[in-house]
Amino acid sequence: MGIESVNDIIVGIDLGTTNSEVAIFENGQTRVLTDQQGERILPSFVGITDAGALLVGRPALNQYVANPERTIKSIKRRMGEATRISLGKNSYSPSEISAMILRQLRDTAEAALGQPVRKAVITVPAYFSDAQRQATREAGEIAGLEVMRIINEPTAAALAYEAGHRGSRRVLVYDLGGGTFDVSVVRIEDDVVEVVSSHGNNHLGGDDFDQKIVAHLLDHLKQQGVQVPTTSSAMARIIRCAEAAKRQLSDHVEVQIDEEYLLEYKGRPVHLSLELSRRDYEEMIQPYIDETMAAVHTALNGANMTVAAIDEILLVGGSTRTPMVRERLQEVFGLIPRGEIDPDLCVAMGAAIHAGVMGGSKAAAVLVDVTPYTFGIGVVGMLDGDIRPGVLSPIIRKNTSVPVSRSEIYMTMIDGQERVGIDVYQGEHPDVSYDVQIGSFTVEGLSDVPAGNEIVVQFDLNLDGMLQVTAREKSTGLAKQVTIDNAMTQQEGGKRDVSQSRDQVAALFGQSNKRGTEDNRADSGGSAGTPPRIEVQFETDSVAQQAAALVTKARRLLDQATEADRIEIVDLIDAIQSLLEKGDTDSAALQKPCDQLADILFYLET
Amino acid sequence: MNPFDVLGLTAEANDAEIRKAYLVRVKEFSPEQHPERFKEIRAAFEAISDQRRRIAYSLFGKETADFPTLLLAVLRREQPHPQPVTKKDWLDLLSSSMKEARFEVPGER
Ligand SMILES: Nc1ncnc2c1ncn2[C@@H]1O[C@H](COP(=O)(O)OP(=O)(O)OP(=O)(O)O)[C@@H](O)[C@H]1O
Repeated sequence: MGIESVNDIIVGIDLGTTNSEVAIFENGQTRVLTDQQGERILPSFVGITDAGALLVGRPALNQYVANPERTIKSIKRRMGEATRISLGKNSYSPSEISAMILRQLRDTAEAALGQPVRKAVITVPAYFSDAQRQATREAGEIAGLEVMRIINEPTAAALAYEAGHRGSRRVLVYDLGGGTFDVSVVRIEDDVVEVVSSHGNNHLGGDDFDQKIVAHLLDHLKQQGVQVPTTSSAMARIIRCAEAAKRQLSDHVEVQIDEEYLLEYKGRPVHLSLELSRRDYEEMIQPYIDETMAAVHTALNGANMTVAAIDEILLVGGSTRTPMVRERLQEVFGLIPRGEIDPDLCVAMGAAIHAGVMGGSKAAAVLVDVTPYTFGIGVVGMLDGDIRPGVLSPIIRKNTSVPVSRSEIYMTMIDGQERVGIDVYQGEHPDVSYDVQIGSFTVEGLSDVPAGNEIVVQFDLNLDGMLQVTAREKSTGLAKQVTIDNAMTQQEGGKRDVSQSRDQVAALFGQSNKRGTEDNRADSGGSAGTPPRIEVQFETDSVAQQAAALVTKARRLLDQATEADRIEIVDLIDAIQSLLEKGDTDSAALQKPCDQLADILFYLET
Repeated sequence: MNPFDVLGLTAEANDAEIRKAYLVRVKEFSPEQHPERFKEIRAAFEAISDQRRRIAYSLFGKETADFPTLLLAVLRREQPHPQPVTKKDWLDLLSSSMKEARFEVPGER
């Protein structure tokens, strides 16, 4: 993709619910880039002016109160949903809106660095699902960025933290941002940053705290007989002042909330005026804080550690400024949580460090991360004492290090069974109806044999946290492969949309002083809740697919290889996969390692 | 492939030595640059990272074993592992396998 320039820089991006940042790694140091106004933080707001011009960041935030229906905030909470969000005359997917924020960050970086920026490492909450990760990757592509890697926010924070500290330790990373909560147990040792376990909630954050105060204020108005319309600028003002009050309550035990001439109701002006104490506020958010503390214990259990095993607590995310968060952690751990790295910036800094590593900088630390979810398939099994279908058979368990390949053998149930349906799930519940189905496919044309025909199901989970599934009849090798790729394909037109979206977003940027884009493309539908559609591809004859098949085969034969062969095979697999990942598919570069690998395999098989 | 060989260790290695060897190799073959190599190193490490797993590995060639197999091994007094296996080791091994077995027959969550 694109032409490689001599110093092809990779930037690190924290694409946040409320704030986003871009940073780079240079001369062994991280630098958060500033825009023309000298701002390092870009509010994650997107808007369209009355005249149809695009606004991203602070200007969009500023018009929010006057123009709530033309402004979008917290789009990250919608990522991975098959929904359209209307903005001005058009409607956009969550990935497209996020792409506008990314595009703005890219422009900022290009201006700050004086060179084109085409590659990025983007962070996501550790607890983001497969669909949400896919949607994020897609947002990057729409913004004209090659997403080199998606890394987890708490992990990025740990990397940034490690860079400033020596010695081995066990760290609890508590990351409470605007829209998401993550907690990870991380071991830092000999320059290896190893995530041991991770847990979270991808819909819990400072936005929810704001909502509690908003509900309180609306209640207060209701008692005076005033009803506030949902999409009015009065509502936008209430939301804004709730957030401001929340921040003040981090430093004061009480705040005075005053909004004069909030709205006109039944011909009379309404003023909002009341006091809110920290104690009352804490009562409102207590259930959320309790939930985060329960997640902390889940993460500790997952790491097989007790509270006493933790040496340090690292606070990440703006919402960790809430005193109650610090108090509760201190109570449980008997440690004073550390927040010396700016909680708003450390994720972007960690992303930049990893970007530096990928770009070949002498790396300070190596990263090992885990999957926060269990992945498996639905089988006929034992549940509540009954034999029934729809029982989760885990293949890759929560907190397994990535990348990872695991396979399990399953058997057909009836004589002469011609096909098996494979339903892939993400989740922890033994009953699959409580888990998230992320794909399904069928292997057809099985041999005509009695029940008990062995089917090998292999899961490959990559560093971005995305899954590939292969099912194969053991006796014949008949295989079917599916990549769980369910964000864009949910809409009509499939992958084609990325380039369309890219052009559309680029046009919006090009024309941000003129009228909004005219290319009012037909709404491609895809209402919320549409189940993901999976693209199933049979292996055809392209070099890339041959290479992929060869890699699968090589893995299978690895056990039979001698020590010397094995190392050679593994290195060849790595070489081929890195070429495949780069999209370097038709070149002679790919042919060479493939031929070498095929040679070794041939001689292994005979 | 023998996990001790992957990590360049002898079968007598203890927890600390195994972890050290694992870290050294992860630094050389990071998940980012050498994903396939990393998978092997990680799998090897997981197979033998503590005494319980080492016993299980030496008995069954992999970390987990089903309960009846373990029971049989106990009854036959198999102790192929070079380090003396204590009663507590056996109990740990059995109870962890039972936990595993319970997970495989879900429904109690
Ligand atoms: N002093 C403060 N007290 C309490 N909350 C605060 C304070 N300052 C900022 N916040 C809250 O922190 C949140 C933003 O944090 P941050 O920028 O880390 O999140 P984000 O990266 O946008 O979100 P996420 O990581 O969930 O995607 C907002 O909800 C904001 O209201």
